[in-house]
Amino acid sequence: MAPDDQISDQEKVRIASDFIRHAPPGEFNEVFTDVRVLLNNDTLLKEGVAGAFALYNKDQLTPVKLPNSSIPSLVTEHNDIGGGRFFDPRSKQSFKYDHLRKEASDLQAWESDTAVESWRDALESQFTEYTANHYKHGVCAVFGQSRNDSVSLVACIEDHQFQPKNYWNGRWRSQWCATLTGGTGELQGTLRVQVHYYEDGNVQLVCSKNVKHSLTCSNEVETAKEMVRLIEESESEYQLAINENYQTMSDTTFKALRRQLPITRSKVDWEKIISYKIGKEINKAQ
Amino acid sequence: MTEEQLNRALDLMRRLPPQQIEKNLSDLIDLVPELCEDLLSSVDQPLKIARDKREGKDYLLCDYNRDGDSYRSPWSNTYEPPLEDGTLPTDRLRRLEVEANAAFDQYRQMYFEGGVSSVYLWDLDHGFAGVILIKRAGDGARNIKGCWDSIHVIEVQEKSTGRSAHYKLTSTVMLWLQTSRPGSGTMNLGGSLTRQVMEQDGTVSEPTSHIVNMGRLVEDMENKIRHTLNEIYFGKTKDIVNGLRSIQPLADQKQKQAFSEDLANALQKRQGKSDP
Repeated sequence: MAPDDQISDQEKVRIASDFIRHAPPGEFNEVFTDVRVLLNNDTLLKEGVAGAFALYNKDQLTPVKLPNSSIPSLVTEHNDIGGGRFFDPRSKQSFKYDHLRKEASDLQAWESDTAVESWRDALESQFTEYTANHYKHGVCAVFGQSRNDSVSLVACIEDHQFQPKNYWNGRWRSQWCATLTGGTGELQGTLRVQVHYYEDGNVQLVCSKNVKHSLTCSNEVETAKEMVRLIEESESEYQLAINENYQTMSDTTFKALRRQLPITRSKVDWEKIISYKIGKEINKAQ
Repeated sequence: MTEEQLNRALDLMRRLPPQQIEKNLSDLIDLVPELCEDLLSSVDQPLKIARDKREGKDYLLCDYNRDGDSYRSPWSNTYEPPLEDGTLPTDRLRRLEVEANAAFDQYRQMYFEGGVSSVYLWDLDHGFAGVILIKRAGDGARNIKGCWDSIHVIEVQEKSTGRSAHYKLTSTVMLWLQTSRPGSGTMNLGGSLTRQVMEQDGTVSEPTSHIVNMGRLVEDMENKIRHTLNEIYFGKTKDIVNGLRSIQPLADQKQKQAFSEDLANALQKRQGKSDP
């Protein structure tokens, strides 16, 4: 393409939005600034790309501090009530969320769905204890919704470590959806891990896994305990599997790509390699 | 404005997932076409392989053996697709290039036991420069796909006496690992460790001395980078994951820690009592 062929504004918005949505955890601001300078069109940025900020924050299960509560909430697709507002089922409030500043404001009372509140509350109790037990700085949230004869529950966990001074960032995201109908239930989970290391390079770990379980439901508390038991089992199994892969990658795959030293156990004899070639040349000339 | 934009573009390429380098680079060039040449020459991409049908050997593609849309094979020294006036090294340099390809082919076999390598040289005012490329794909054993790409760019300044030269090496190694298994889902660990600079002087008794000097520098550099890759990929990133979630319940750990602290205190008190 000739340098003066420009792509359409629509294409520019698509590219800018893609870049924003792929910012590694903890680096949204840096990616945003890069994109802003490269796009060089603040109007287009505000009108076309702003939607990407919200999608990014929701996808990342971004933790948010509430001014009047000691326990943070999460910004997700499950508690999005439109107009830039989200609800926190734990403190029974809704708030306005600034996607660039990552701040909550304008708190208002919010009513939970009474049909499912006892189930949601029971799971929140068990789930909060579970989160505290496995995630040092983890934040969790449980959302509930009634759907015809079913109880629909979504439980999310987010934990992260941001160390830009050491050139690395990492985030864990768990999302568990339960549908309870009568005496049975289905539990489905999506687990995601992302790590970015960038001292003198760009190395990223991107992992995801889907899990499915069925369960029997009795009362709210027993069902919540059963769900958390399955969740703990699955997440620990996942973490072990990741560690096992690391072992295999390092012991087997990496070694098979390049040896530490040649099979002779010493470095290459470059003089020998050259003299062999010269020998060949001399032979050719004769 | 363009210099700031180039810096921002390079910063962006260091943050976006390297698993999508080609797509990211292509999108970036579409967004800022003025930066095209600068980006193509400063952003490393996974190496592509082409087949030299005449010689029946594979070779690697990069910006340094490209002229227009054609690439020069280091085996036949011709362009594919053919070019009327494609850039070629001088005769002297071509002879050295042939030797270098043969030598690094052996180096590649000794360390990588497979894969493809290519060396391209070009003239400079007081010396020459070159790129040494190596690509090694894994065989997919244990259900894990792996690939290694080396890009070594070397600058050789020949001293006026002709008896010594100064070598400057800048290297990038890309390492890609991915697996998809029931227990761990999809796991993709990839990227590159960039541009480390190594400089050295060397004696030159005949033209092929350059190959000995370059070879030693590249070998030392690659061994260093391999070590760092091992530490970062399988040490650092793994530690970060295990820092995000603890398999052992944290309450248990707190209890254990409190217990061992109590024990240490009790032992100290005991010792205090029995001392004269």
